[in-house]
Parts: sequence; C-alpha cells; structure tokens
Amino acid sequence: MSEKEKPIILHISEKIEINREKLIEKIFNLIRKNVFENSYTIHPRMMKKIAEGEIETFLQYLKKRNTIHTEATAREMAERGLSLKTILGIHEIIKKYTIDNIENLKEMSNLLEVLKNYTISYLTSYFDTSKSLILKQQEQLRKALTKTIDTQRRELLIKNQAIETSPNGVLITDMYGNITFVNKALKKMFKDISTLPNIPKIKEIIENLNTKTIGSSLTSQGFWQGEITIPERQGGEKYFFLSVSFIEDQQNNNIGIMYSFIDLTEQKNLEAQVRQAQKLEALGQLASGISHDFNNILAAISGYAELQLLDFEEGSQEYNDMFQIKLAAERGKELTKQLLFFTKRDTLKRTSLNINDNIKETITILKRTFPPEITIETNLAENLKPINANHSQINQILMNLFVNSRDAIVGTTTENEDTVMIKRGTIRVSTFNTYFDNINAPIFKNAKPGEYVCLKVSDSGMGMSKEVVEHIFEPFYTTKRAEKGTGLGLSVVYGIVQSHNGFIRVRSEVGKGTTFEIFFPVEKTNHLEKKLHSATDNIYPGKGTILVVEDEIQVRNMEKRILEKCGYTVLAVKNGREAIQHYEQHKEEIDLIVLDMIMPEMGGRECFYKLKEINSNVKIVITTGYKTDAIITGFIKEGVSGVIEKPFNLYNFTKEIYRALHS
Amino acid sequence: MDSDFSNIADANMPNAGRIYDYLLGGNHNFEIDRIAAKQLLQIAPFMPQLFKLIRWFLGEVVLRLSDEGFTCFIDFASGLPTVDHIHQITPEGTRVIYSDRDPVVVTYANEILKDNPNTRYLQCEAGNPEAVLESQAVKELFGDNRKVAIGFNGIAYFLPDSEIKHFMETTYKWADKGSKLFLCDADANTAPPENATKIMEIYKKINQPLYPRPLKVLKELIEPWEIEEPGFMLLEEWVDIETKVTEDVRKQWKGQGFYGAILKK
Repeated sequence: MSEKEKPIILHISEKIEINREKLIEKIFNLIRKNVFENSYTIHPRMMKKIAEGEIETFLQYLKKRNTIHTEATAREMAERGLSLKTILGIHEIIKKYTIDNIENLKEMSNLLEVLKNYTISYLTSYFDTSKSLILKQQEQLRKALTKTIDTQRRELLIKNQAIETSPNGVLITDMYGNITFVNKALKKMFKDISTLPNIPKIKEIIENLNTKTIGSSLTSQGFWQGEITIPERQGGEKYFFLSVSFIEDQQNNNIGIMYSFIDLTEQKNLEAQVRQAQKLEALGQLASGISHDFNNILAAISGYAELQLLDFEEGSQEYNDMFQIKLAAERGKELTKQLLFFTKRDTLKRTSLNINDNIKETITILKRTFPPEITIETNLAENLKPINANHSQINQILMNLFVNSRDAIVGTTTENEDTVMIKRGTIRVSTFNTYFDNINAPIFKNAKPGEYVCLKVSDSGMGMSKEVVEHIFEPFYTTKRAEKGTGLGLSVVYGIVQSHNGFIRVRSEVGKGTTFEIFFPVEKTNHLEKKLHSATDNIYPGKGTILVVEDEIQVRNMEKRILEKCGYTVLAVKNGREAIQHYEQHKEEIDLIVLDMIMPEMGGRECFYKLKEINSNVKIVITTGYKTDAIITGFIKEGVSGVIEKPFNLYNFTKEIYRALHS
Repeated sequence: MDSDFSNIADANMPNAGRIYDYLLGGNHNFEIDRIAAKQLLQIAPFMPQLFKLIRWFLGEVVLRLSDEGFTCFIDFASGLPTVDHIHQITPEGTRVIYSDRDPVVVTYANEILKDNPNTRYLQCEAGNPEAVLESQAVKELFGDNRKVAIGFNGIAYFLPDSEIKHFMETTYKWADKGSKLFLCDADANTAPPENATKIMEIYKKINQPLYPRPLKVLKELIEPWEIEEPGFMLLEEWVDIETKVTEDVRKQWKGQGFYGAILKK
C-alpha cells in the first residue's frame, strides 16, 4: 500500500466496518434476486454466508493489499457456481458504496485504482478457476465415458462370444436377406449339409425358408418358430428347431433378422431308438411269457420221448419214431433260445463257440425275412478254430452286418419307396483261420500277434465313399432315412468286437459293394461242449427220496418217472404250499427237492425261502425255463444246490440231480 | 446389463442425465445433449429453474434430517455427487450411499468419491431398490442400522405407478421404524395439454419416458409410508424463494405445481 493510498483505504475500511451489516444485506438481496442465475449448487441457505464472505474478502484486500484471500474467494465462488452476473453485481455494490463515501476527487482516483485492481484480481482468479473447472470436468467425463465404453466393449465381447460359441446355430441377415453373420455352430451344422463353401448353400436354404414358410408369419407376428427338415448331401436328412425373429433397434425399427437353429437330429434318432426299445421290451415280455410255457411243453415232450427211448430197442421202428419226436423237441428248444436272444433276455455269458454255428443259425432266421432276390452264399472253414465269445452278441454282429448288406443292395434300386423294384444281389459270408505276426498285426489298432478267426461279410450293394466309411462306426451316423435306420447298428458291431478283443477292416467302393472283415482271437484251449447227447447216453442212477415240486402235470409226472427210473423214491406235489406241508411231514426222509420257479399259489422263490427256514441245509435244485443271470446268482448266494434249465435232456437232468445229492 | 447401456454411453445420442446437467448449468454434457435441451427450453423455458428448485429441495430436506440426527442416507437417482450433494452438506462422518442407473455417472462418481470412506456409489434402477438395499455396501457402511433417510428426489415422474409402488413397499419393509423418505413430483393431469405432450415426446425419444400423475395418485402410491408435517408443499415454499415457476408449471401441466414432502415410518 502506498503512502498516498493509506488514508483513503483506512477511511473506507472504517466506513465498511461500521456499515458491514447494511452492505451484507444489499449483497444478500442481490444474490437472492439472481438466485436462478447461479448454479444449482448454490443453495439458497448459502446466500447470507456468501454475502458475508464477499465483504470480508474486500476488507482483507483493503487492509493487507495482497490478493491471496481475494483469489481464494474467487476460486471458491467459481467452484460453488456463483454466476458472473452476480459477481459483477456484488462488485458494483462495493464500488458504489466506496465512491459514495469519497468527497475528495484526488482520493477518488486512487480509490478507483484500488477497486480496479481488486476486481481484476478477483475476476482473473474466477475465470481461471472456471476455465480449469470446465476442462477438468470435461476430462473427467471423457475418462468416465472411456471407462464405460471399455466396460460396454467387454459386455459386447461377451455377448458376441456367447453367440459365436453357442451350441445353437445362429445366423443374422440384414433386411434384404444378405447374410451378415454366421456362428461356428451353424457352419459346423451345415458342413454336413452343403458342399463347401457353405455360405451360398445356407443363403439358398434361408431364402427358401423365407419364401415358403416363414415370411408371412414373420411379417405379421415378428417371429416364427417351428421344426424344419433339411436334406443332407449324402442322402439323409437333418432336423432342426428353428426360431426366426426380427432384430430391432432402440426405436423398435427392424434392422435385421436372426435365425437360431437347434439340431434335433440326434434327439430324433434317440426318440426313434427309444420307441424301438419300447417295442422290443413289450415283445420281449410277451416272448418270455410264451417261452416259459413253451419250455414246459417241450420239457414234457422231450422227457417222455427220452423215457420211451430207454424202453425201445435201438434201431427199431418205435425207437426211430420216438427219436424223431425228441429231435423235434430239441429244434423247438433252439427256437425258444433264439426268441429269447432277439428279445435280449439271454445273458452275456461267454462260452467257447464256433462262429460257423452262429452264421448258420442267423442265416436260417434271416432267410425267412430277406427278399428272395437277395442270395446269401457261404464259404465256411471246416476246421474253424473256436473263439471265446457271447453267443447272442455274435449273433447280433451277424444280424447287423446282414441287415446292413441287405439295405445296401435294396438301396441301389430306387429312391421312390412307392415303386420298389428290388435288384438281385448277393451277400457272401466266409470264415477262415488266420495268423498275425509282429509285422502285420500293427496294421490294426490294438491288434496283438497271434491266431485269429476271420468273419468276412461282403455284399454287392451300393458301396460307400471314403468319407462315409470314416464315420460308419460313429453312433447315430446313418445314411438311411430316419425311419429306416437308427445309426446304431455298426456302432454296436464295433463295440461288441472291441469287447471281444477283436478288430474290424472295412473295404468299400461306391457302386461296387462293401466288405467287412472281423477278426476274433482264437480261444487258447478248446473245450467245446457236446451240445446234444444221444438218447443212448447213460442216465445217472441214484438212491434217496426226492420231492418234485412242479405245477405242470405233464412235466411233474415226467420228472417223477425219470427219477424213479434212476432208482429214486419220488414224492410229487403241484405247488409251493403243498411242498412245505410235505416237507414238514417228511423232512427226515427227503434228501433233495426239485423245485420249479413259476407256479400258482406259492411260487418257487417263496417256497425256497420257507424250506430254508425249516431246514437251512435242505438241498434244492431249481428248474426254470426263465433263466437270467440275476436270478441264478441270487439263488447261488442263498445256497441252492443246482439249477436245471428247461427244457432239459435226460442225461443233463439226472447228472445234475446226482451231482447235487452228492455235493 | 441395462438395455439402455449403449445409449447412455453413446456421445452421439442425447441422454436424459446429460440434458439435465446442461439445464442446471453443468459441464457434463455434449453438443447433442445441448441441442435436445434447447428444444426443451423452447417449449418449457422454466425447466432450469424447476430443476434447481428440485435440487435445492433435496439440500433443504437433507439439512433438516441431518439436524434431526440422521447419519445414514441412501439416495436414488443421485446424479453427480457435486459440491452441494448430501455428503458435502452434512456433518463429517455422515454415511451416504448414492445410486444412479447411468453407468457413466456411476463410473465418474466413483472416481470423485474414491478417497471418501463414508460414501459409496452404486448402479441401480430406482424402480428396483433391492439392488442397493441388499448390497454389500449397505452392510459395510451401515452395519445393522436400518434407521435411515432415503432420497427419492426428482425421479417419480420418470417411473410408472407400479415401480413407485414397488419402491415404496420395498423400502418401507426394509427400513426400521423412525426412518424417513423424501420425494417430489409434479401435480399433473394424466392427459396433459399440447405443450406438455411435446416434452413427453422428446423424453420418449431419448428413452426416458415421463409418467405425469395427479398428486392424489402419488399420495396413494407412497403408502405405507406416512406423510410428515408440513406435508406436501410447493418446492419454492420449502426453500423460501420467490419464483413464477409454479405458475409456469401449472400452465404447462394443468395441475397445482411441483410438490415435495418428507415421509416417515
């Protein structure tokens, strides 16, 4: 402060101090009047405080003549949002007040200089702060926007990837039908359908769908959903659930169309498989029931025939006639077995078998169902070595291969089911022994050097391309129409062969047919059992008292006669209840009980447990025409002495009784 | 993620929050927002004054509640936590949870508040208060205290009746006895006159439709909260400012003006 200014500054300061409240009131009224000019951040409650602050700031300036306090207030007011109009108004009030209190013009000039400097100092700070505040806020906004857009970008990436990696096929077009996006799943789905490049094919399909099926629904409802079928280039069909909808922008304008494909082909195949399995289950139950009754009848015929054969002289007319009856009963027994196999009631037990027998058995059945135009030729090695295998599963392999060959031949005739003209064709089946050494075994995956039996099935059918051959053992892969094939046949063959430590070779050429070669390891020791014993085989004689429990009167009497013939004392009853009564009365005398499983009133199972309650050491041999592993395993655990499968032959029956009695 | 996400973060599309900022004289806006704001001003030039009244009402009520002893505040549709906002005008130690639907605002606000341990800023639609009430932030900041002051200021006219009802029932159920809630809304005809319709169209275009309603309807929606004395008053009465805003609002919406109130449980 200069010496010239001192008196006037002092004078004004004193004046302001004296009239401070009046000045504050004036400034307050100004701010109140301009309240809406200021920023919203200046609350009306703050107006008085601001007015006080402005007077104090001016006084500080006058007293100290430095701008620190002035600039600080100006910064605060800029940050608070006090408007320029209000600030200028406040300065005008201060200026007017000071000028009104000066009488000397010379002093006036000094004072105006002071006021000018104060206002400049205040406004400079105010503008600088306002400017930097705007820049700071804009920069903060930019940063926040960038950060948000980054987050948004990540969100979009997730959404994009969700569509891109979805297992459902997704396709997007613009409103003119031009494809703008196809996800991976759809490309994969359509790879099997179209030839490469696949986009034009997809476009064609989409255009076809739009014009034929979807267009009107899409226009009227904005979406369409339904199942569609698309032919595959290899002749099959693929099934899809398709959803088509408009893509809308935020103003609900249509900007594109989205197609979402869910591949139902596998599901359809599974449904067909389930339906087939349900049919087989029903047939199986029916067949099992019939087999049980039928086995009882066969047991009676066979048993009586064998009894008669013992009484007739071998070579006599009576003997030969009775032998034919026995043979017929044996054939009936084999038929029952086959019926049980095809209804999957047989067990998975492996035995030593000659695969030629399975071939003959299967061909016998298939010849009745195959068209007569298809010839089956066989060339079976006479000295074929045995393999250790499950009889039913080997039959299933043969069945599946033969059916496949048949379809390959039939499939070459016509595509129109209504006008089938079956061409002649041949299925050739051969077997031979072979050997793989260390050099040629590795040609086949998992093959070990050693002796093998080869089953070879060739057909003169349509053959397959290399690409098809690559897929034929995959589950549900089929080139047949949906209702014709499940795509499981060859995969089942593959599974069975694998489980038997075997391997498969396929050779095929389009138009020239297909050959399957299946190799099974030869069983190391040959213990093929003699299946059918002649009538002259010895029966096993024995002594003791046997209780026969059997509801079928013919079977009961037959078993009684056989056992009596062997030298046993036989008691016979018709159900479990009678068996319990007899056993309670004669338990000291009865050495063994022959117990049928399925009987009225009290069945074999309940009877078995009641007998065991009476005497835990009682010897019981089960007879059943309804044999399953689970039942047998259960009874063996419970201490059954033997199991005889009906129908039986004399030799086996008496042998098992003898063995049980002496075990 | 919010369906309007892309709009909010898009500097090429007008955004309701940024238009509001411009009309209040803020710097958090773009040219596209200013153009839309000027359209609004042509139809309703009183809007900046009205928005300031709404904001001052918030300040007034917060100061009153703070004087009553409230130390925990939850605020919905908060906007930016500027120099006049709750944590700035209440005594040190007051704990405040802000929220807004706009992710840019949330990001920005979190940057501003990052050094303040007594505040949190969450993303939340006001119509879905559970996002805040059930948040970890409430547990961290309030502990088991549920006697709180809840701000529902300047948002009612952006929400349909069903969402307001849901908000009121949910917050009432959540809060302890003694809690308070403040709000404001315009008393308006549900079938507004032509000028108001034009405003509604502009807001609809920027995906922020307006839901005008008579005060009588609002009073039904706020149940089970009870209205505390002095009841619903015009905003200028709350802040003791002379203005012709109410007169303008009445002309525009044919109602009785813009009211605010404090509610209690």
